[in-house]
Amino acid sequence: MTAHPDNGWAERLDKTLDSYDVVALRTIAERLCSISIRLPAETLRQQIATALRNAPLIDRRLRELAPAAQRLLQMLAQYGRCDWDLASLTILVGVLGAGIDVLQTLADLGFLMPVNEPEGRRRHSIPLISVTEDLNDYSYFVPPSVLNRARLVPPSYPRAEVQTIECEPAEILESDGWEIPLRLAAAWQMLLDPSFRFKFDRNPRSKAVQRAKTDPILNGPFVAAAGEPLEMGFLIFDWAKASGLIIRGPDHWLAGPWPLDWRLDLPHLLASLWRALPKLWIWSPEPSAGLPRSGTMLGFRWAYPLILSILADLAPKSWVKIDDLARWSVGRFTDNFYPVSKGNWIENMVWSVLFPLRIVQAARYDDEWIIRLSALGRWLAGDGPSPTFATTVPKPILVQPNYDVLVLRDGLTPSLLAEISSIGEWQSLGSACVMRLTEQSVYRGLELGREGEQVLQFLSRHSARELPDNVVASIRSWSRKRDRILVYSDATVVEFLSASDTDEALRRGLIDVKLSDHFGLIRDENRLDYRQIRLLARRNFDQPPEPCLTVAEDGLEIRVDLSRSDLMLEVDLHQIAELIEIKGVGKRFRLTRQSLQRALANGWTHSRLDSWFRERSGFSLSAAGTLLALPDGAISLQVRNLWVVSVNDPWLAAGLIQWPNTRHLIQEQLSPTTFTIAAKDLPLFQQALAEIGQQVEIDRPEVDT
Amino acid sequence: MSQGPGSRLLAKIHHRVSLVLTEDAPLAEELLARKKLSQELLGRLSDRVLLVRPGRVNAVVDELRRMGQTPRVLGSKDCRDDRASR
Repeated sequence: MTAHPDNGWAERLDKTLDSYDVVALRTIAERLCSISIRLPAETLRQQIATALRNAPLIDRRLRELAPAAQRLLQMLAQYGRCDWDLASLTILVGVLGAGIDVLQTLADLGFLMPVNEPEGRRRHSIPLISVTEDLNDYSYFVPPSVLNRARLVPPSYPRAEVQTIECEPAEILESDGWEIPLRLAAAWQMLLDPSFRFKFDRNPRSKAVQRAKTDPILNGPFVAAAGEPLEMGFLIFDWAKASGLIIRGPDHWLAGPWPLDWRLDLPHLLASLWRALPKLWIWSPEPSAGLPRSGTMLGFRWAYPLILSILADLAPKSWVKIDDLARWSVGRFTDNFYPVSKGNWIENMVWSVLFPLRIVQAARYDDEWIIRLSALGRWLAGDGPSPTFATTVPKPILVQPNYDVLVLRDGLTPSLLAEISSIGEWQSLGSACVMRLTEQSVYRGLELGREGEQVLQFLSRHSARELPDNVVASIRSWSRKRDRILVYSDATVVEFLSASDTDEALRRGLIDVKLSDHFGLIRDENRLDYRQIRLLARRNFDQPPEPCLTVAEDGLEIRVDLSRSDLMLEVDLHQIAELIEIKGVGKRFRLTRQSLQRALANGWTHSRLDSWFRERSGFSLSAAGTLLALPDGAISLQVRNLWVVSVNDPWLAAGLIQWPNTRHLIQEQLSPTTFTIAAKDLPLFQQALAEIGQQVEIDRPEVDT
Repeated sequence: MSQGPGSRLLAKIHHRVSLVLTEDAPLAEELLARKKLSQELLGRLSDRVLLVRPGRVNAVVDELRRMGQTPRVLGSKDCRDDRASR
């Protein structure tokens, strides 16, 4: 491949220089630009930033580097990735027979810069770390301008001493490159199912781990039969995460939007997947006894640029035995960084990554497997043109009446694969892959932004034959079914004061949907033409309800303050009261016995009514309302024929109540100066008072018995 | 209430409303009869419109799908439906 892509690293370079202290800046300025005088920090930053974009200067410094340092940069440039964790860099320099001082030299030149600073302080030195440190705390990047020049420096480091084989095998195996993309699409599809809650945890009993280990599609055999891949299920989920195909949700991973690389051709997609490998976290080419690897010290991220560089050093037609590569690797790693060095990780990496990704070809020689870079591999290593994998089948889809869809790999493109994965369910991934259309799979596709007719057009466009009638009818039916229930998560509802206003709003296009006589819905609030509205109030639906009613003196009439009312008020009021009038900006309702009894019959309780009124008006349900809400026969009333006796002073009433001659005649004291006596006892009362020289004035009302 | 064809209409605006709109009233009744679903609903705005409790749209959509329904979800609040679109 040609010039290394920037991907925002130039901007990061400027930001990183901002984080350096003046000591670090002076060190870099001296080593890179030969500036020995003391300049202000800002000036130094500008000088360094300019120097790091100066190709001839970079070339000079590159040529001055030790061979191991040059080789390291060339490996990273060849791989095509700017950022690396420090442990991987340390291992690579170790493989090259050098120490961490190589990295320090590069850092002092500004050729290696920190991606993040865990302690937040400014520094530039490469820390020494142990194998138990968290790798993510120490990541570094090489400026793209440096990597681009590093590729052009003539190699001075000796090539890896592996025996090459010159032969012309009778059968050369090469993957078509679709094994990984197909499995990634299948993994993405699995995460569309909300019941499959995938987490990257280490629990061997978790559903996700079990599914990763056993899923027949993810772990199924490759079309080009070669060696045995390792733990493909884990690798695919890990790779999907590393390449951005799946994204982190609140508590589990989700299918994400298809990355832009899936709109490119297959070689560029494969290149992008290749470069995502250093971000793998749970998969490792070491056998794991069935468990996903923890984020162990290395994850073999350093191995990808190393393997590529070794293979790229071979002549294009030369082969190398996998076992020879493995023997070469044994003893290359010190105990400090790689406690177990059996070498079989190379074989696993070849069959799980390099071969299915079409980076290497494979063949049998003397009963052993030999490999070499393919045309794609050569292109990735910068040693060949971009290969073209022409599609030989222009219409690779065949939809069958049983809803199965045959997908021919020879006609696939990444974007076609992404599109079809959105509407069907993968059943098998052979040379002809099989997918099934179901109501749920098509529904998911529709939910991802497609319409039923778009799905049909897509299938027709890529199908060698006409779509079966039953499939067309089903897709249309499933699409129509989806419109039976519409769920609006964030709609704008407009409340009008009359049904005629609502109709007028619909006619003018102010609202998209008429919800009821007084309510309309707008799908996009930005489209609302406020020039046609006289705004009474606005309110957020999720605001808590507030008092917005006043109850009249009669305890039954309710007046609504529209400026403070909410949507639920309308719903509730129609359940408990009758609308009397809408006048101006006010609405009046009335509690009636019928409306209250209806509410009680439909689930309202007295307690709920009371608390509702307190919430909405600040006061409990009125006494009149409580009275009307009583069920039949709930009260008993008693009418008695009584005289009310009224005196001038409370002491007089108290005296009459206390005096034994009148006490037994008094029924009930109504107030401090009034009390009642039974009609039959009036004469006795008069007589008792006459005995103490007092008279009773009787106001004779018309008593209707 | 409107004064004439070009006059401004008195209105109140309710923002960020979550609701379910069904094809017909019997379908709304069917949804309300489902206990788990009705717990997530505030009530009926009309015979076909059900108001959803704030913040419970995802729960409503999940329950509808468990019922075998295939609701069309519209709006930006539901990240699950937006996140995988092209």
